[in-house]
Amino acid sequence: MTKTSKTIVFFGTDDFSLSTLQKLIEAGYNIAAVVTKPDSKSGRGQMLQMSSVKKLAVKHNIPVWQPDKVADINDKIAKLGNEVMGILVSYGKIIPITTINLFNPGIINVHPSLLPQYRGPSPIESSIKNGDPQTGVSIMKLTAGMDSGPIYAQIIHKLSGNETRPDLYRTLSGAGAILLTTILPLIIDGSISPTPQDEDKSSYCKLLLKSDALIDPMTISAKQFEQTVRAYIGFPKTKIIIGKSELIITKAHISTGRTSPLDVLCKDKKSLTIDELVAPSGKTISNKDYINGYL
Amino acid sequence: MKKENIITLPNPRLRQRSSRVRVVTPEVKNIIKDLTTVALDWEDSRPHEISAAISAVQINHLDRIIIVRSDFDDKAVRDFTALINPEIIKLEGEITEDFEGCLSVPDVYGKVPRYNKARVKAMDVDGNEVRFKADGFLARIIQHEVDHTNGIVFIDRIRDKKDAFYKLDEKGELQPLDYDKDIKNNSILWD
Repeated sequence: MTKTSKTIVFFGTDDFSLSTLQKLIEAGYNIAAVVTKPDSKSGRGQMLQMSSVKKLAVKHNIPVWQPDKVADINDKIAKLGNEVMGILVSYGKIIPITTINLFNPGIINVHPSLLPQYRGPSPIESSIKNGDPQTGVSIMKLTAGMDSGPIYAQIIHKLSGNETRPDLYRTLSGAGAILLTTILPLIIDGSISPTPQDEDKSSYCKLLLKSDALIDPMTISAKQFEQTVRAYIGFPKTKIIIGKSELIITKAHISTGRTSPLDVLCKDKKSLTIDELVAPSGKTISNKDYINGYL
Repeated sequence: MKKENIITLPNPRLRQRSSRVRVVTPEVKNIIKDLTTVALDWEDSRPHEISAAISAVQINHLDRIIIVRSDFDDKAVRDFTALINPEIIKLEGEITEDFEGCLSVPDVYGKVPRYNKARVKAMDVDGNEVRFKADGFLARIIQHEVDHTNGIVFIDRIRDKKDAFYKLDEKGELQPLDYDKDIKNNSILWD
């Protein structure tokens, strides 16, 4: 008897998924298609921009599918034959159950948190913002609920308290790619089965919006403020209003006494000293340069 | 032995019953060796398919001998287990449909209903009796091969099912076949 060979359909859009796709290609998996969000307008002149995932797929001659509605590719998936496995890493769209059901043994998802903690779209930001001692990556099986599927494996990553959002994205993306490619053969041959999440311990994190950037220092402690600055670098950013200007803070530390005109008094009466910021001119400058130039 | 030694439809032998093997002779061991070489030679010529199993009738020996791939998900694992006089003691579980193809029916795939659990009895290459339970795709493979030893080809199981026939195209995608045009009165398949 013959069967069609095991193929993978990879779902991913943002840079976090890039290292996993790269590892799968290197490991020689037969990737039938890469599903990514439609090209978005960005940059000057609002040019259509390919995601970096799409660029990698095109480079390796892997077909790219960019459905507006995910269910539109159900027919194409069904044609791939016997055993098609899905792998999803930060794709950015909800997968309907009709699509999930086409895969065997399902769609495997890489989620950058120690599930059931931080289900939802901002687990990396949440772990830094909340000053957690550790976070990690979970490999789970996608179900209809948000990030609530059973877990195949997890890896813990200790947090130093100094990492920023881009740092942790890079670290966890690499760790997730290695963990997934290590256990994938075991998932395929059925020698490991996933363990259900403990619903009682579950927590959710929210989708971050541009409007989350603006912080009123009198509502949070200096420590929380400093953590937020590191958690929100790049997006949604951390903004405060000083005088009439809106400043974006890119680096700060907690200080005991008032040491500079750019110290912000917080709810717990401690101050946050801004070390680096984006000035109204749009340039990232140091505390000293800002004081010399603007105050 | 090469993939060209595989007999394909409409060869009438594929619809004949094979005979039981009494003793594991050197000739039986040779057939097992040939089956393995042929299955791998065929697979090496097919970019999107895996040789999951083959039976002796497919290389023109009407003996009840089959070989099954040790890991039919991984092309890198190139060894097979031989089963002599394989018998299905009991079919269990539920009936599921999945795609299967056959080295003797090139390019045609079918969605075939099969039980997902089977209890199997056979003899190994050393002449010892083996009994085991097969699950999932392995249960499907064994049913397909035991059918061969009884002169049944997988398409016989879906003969009247209009939407069960597919063709594997050069990109490795399964395209539905036109039942009335390609299947119904196709003399290669049924005569």
